[in-house]
Amino acid sequence: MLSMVKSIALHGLQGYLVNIQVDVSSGMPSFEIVGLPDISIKESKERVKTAIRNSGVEFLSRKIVVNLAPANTRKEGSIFDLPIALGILIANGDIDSSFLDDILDQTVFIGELALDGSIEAVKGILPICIEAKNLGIKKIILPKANAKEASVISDLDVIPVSNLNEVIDYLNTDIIIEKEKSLNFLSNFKPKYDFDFSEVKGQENVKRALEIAAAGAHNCLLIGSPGSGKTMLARRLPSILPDLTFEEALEVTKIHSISGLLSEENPLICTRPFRSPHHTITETSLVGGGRIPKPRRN
Amino acid sequence: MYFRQMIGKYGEDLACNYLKDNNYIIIDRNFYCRQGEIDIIAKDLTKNELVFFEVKTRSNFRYGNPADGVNKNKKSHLYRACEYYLYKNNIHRLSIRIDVIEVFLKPNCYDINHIKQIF
Repeated sequence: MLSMVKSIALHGLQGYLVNIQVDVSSGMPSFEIVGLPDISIKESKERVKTAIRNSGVEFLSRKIVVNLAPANTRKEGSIFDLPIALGILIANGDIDSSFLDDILDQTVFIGELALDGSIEAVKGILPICIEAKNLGIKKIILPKANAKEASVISDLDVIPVSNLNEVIDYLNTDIIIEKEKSLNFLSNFKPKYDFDFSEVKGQENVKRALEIAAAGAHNCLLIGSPGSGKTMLARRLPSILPDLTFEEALEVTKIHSISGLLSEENPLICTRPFRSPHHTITETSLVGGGRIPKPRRN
Repeated sequence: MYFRQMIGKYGEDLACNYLKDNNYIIIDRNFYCRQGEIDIIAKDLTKNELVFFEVKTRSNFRYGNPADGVNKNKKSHLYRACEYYLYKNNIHRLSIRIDVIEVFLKPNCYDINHIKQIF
């Protein structure tokens, strides 16, 4: 039987919908994944197989073909473990409820499986959620550890799950999982700085120059004799930079999200990023790099 | 018949008896083709699957467990022999399973270990 499950892949900061089609038929037992998967997705075969078995569901020997449509873009990462596992279970008839088609139509599944069937955190949840919202998808089922990060996006039901059995029961409508509350982080956020601009005494001319530069996003060059306070003033500049708007905060958080630098206590970055690279830094090193360009860590 | 072959044959007989006791119907035994050999072909009545068996018999553990003898090479021979069997007998709509049966021969008794679904 055939089943279709939706998921979202990332191309840089941009997400796109991936339809995971699973066909389970009789014939010589095999398990193939097609649709330009990279090694981490090819390896998900073993994780999926073992996770299903260890969740107490029988994994029958069948001919299983998984297609990740659109088949012409290269996909990477371990986020498809959960949708592939669910696709197999649905095609096998292990998950069945009268609302299943409706649920699958409006739900995106994200998650990496561990061998015991528990669902682990993945990178890049925020851009995925933004894309899901743009596509008009109502519900997203994702790892519990990523729920806070996703709850920043409004109009999207975030269902946090911690293991495969929970998802199976949820889709069978045996249990109801509370959706994660969406929180507005900006309203109650007060950034803390190690160095504050208010500590500077005197230096009225430089302070005025820096205030103008900060407010208007201008360049500013500090020239002075050693010990006059150039570094001291420059270090305190971040504390007078304007607050991030919600859209700006999302943009910054997206980059942190795909780099996997977000913590659960701090799911939305609300401080304006400030870098102080050395003046001899090369362009390549400044923007980060690699085969797939990525931001440099710190 | 050589002694080693006799051990193998005896193990296969024991495996057949075991299968008959466990709701299987034996369809064919010792199916040979260019691709390889299948020891037992049986039908699992409880799950309604066609099952191909490789039987491995050993009388001592000097060279490891019987199932250790079913390596990558043996598995690929088995897989291709199964494909050929299905092709030759025009079987397309059946669920297939490939199992290994380990037989340990001990003085006056034997142990059978049925390993299901090796692919």
